[in-house]
Amino acid sequence: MIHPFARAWLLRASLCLVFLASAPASFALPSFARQTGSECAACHIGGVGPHLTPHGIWFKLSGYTEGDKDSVPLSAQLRLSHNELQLPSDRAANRLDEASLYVAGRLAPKLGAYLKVMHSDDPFNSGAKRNTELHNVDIRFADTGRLAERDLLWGVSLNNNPGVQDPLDANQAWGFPVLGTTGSLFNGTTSPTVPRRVLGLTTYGLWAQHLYAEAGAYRSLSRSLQDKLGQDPQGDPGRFSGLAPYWRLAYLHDMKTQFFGGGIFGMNAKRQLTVLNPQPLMTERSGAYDSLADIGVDAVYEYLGNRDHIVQLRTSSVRERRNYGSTPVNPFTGAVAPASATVREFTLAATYVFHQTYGITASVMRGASTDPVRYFPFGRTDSRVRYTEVFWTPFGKEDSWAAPWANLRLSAVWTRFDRFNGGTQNVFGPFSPDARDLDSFQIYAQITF
Amino acid sequence: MHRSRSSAIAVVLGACLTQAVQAQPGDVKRGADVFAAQCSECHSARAGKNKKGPTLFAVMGRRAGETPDFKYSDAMRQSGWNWDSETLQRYLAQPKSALPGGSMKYDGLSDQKALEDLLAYLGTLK
Repeated sequence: MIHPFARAWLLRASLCLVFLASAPASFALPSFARQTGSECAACHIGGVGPHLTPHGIWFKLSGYTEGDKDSVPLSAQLRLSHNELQLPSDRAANRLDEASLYVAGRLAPKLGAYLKVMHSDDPFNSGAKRNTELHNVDIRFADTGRLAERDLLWGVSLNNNPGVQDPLDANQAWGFPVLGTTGSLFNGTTSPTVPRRVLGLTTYGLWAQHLYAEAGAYRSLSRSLQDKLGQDPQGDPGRFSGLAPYWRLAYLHDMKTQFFGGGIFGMNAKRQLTVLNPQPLMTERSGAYDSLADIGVDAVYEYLGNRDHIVQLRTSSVRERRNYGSTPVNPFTGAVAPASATVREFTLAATYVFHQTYGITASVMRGASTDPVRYFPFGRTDSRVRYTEVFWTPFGKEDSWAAPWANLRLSAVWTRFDRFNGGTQNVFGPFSPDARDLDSFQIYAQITF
Repeated sequence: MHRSRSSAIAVVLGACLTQAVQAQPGDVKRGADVFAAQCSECHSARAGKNKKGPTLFAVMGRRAGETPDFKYSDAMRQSGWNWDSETLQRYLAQPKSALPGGSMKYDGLSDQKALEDLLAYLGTLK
């Protein structure tokens, strides 16, 4: 039987998920536009981030250094929201829920950065309602050369989120997160979370404009450093044993009016999780070591045409194989937890944009794992969440008002939970909410300058 | 004798046909689409608006490498080119081989019809 405290935590976590699911991940940054002289829509589908055109992919792989305009690599963002939830919240329906500062652009001739410091308002955290955190970081050195008589664009990325440095945006670092009660190493919403709680160094190369390869490794941050960087220690991903290797292979094909990219990626980690010690009552990294092996496939297709009608399809699938270092026993049934398990995550999304201004996105995210002991009450973690967004980006084009100094996106988001935590009804145990009770509708206004 | 005269007529006719095809003006509307797909991320069609590449407003007849407030490669500045249809066509088909040392990161437009449409569109930017 799940502890009441744990159930309350699960409920709170799930409410946070509603916001994580619907909140747009990032934005087209005017500091990039000021540096390059290009409009936001040159790099982003529909003039808003995070989804990239082939030109945006090239800019990213070039280390955010392209462009010869003298500019300060700083941007800021405000996000206001109107929230309508099924479950009660003690916070205002209309809020300023994010104020962020970005270091984004060229720092030196071959060195650039995308770094976000986010001050956010967590509507369901009764303790620290507001939090400032170091969000995604991607600092790059990039250069060009020749290899086997073909062009080579290569670089090194220092980042804190496996996949945030990727040229494609189908993965969970930039695409929609898979919401659930357990997740892969790439999942930024299910506790414990790896993204933004690790530091990694990877080196990459794009050869002949088509073949992309990347390899590197991540190490875990201490709990105290995570705390200082604004990450709740409750979500500690654990102590990695040594370095956790990361790799990526992809094929990119830019046809100017169309684009295709797809490939495989993976990460392995052996980690010691944080556990709650009864005497003295405190949490510490003293659990057994679990071995995790993740492998994923992803693909992105874009129809760009003359940019009046743009369609982007993106999908990703991750399979995580776990070998647990311990096998807990259910105190009521005596059942012993399995020593290994598999976690599967899948996302599929489609976006259509008209005149780089009006857009709609529809997506579905699915997660699944089975464990009769670890996952209360159904022994499964299956989730299926659908997400629909309509948006309007009045600026972001070459002749837009205030370009390249400001951008704006207004969006309405519907999030629907078909299944969560393995069930559709009483998903956290008897008398607890149904999956559909997690549904939400939100309106966002994002202003970036 | 007859055979050689016929051959000569065929050659002349062929040359005329080729010239006729070459003289066909490009489609401006399609050229605008080609510009949007191939050029617009790096070049603007607006006067005085330089992006990663220089503005292509009034490019026809302009001397290469002389757009104000744009940093050209040495190769482009020293090319001595004037941007007429022939030069643009040669350059845009294969920029890297047409101008070694140039800074434009573009592989070229191999579709001859699209190239003609693009040139027709560029000719309207004035």
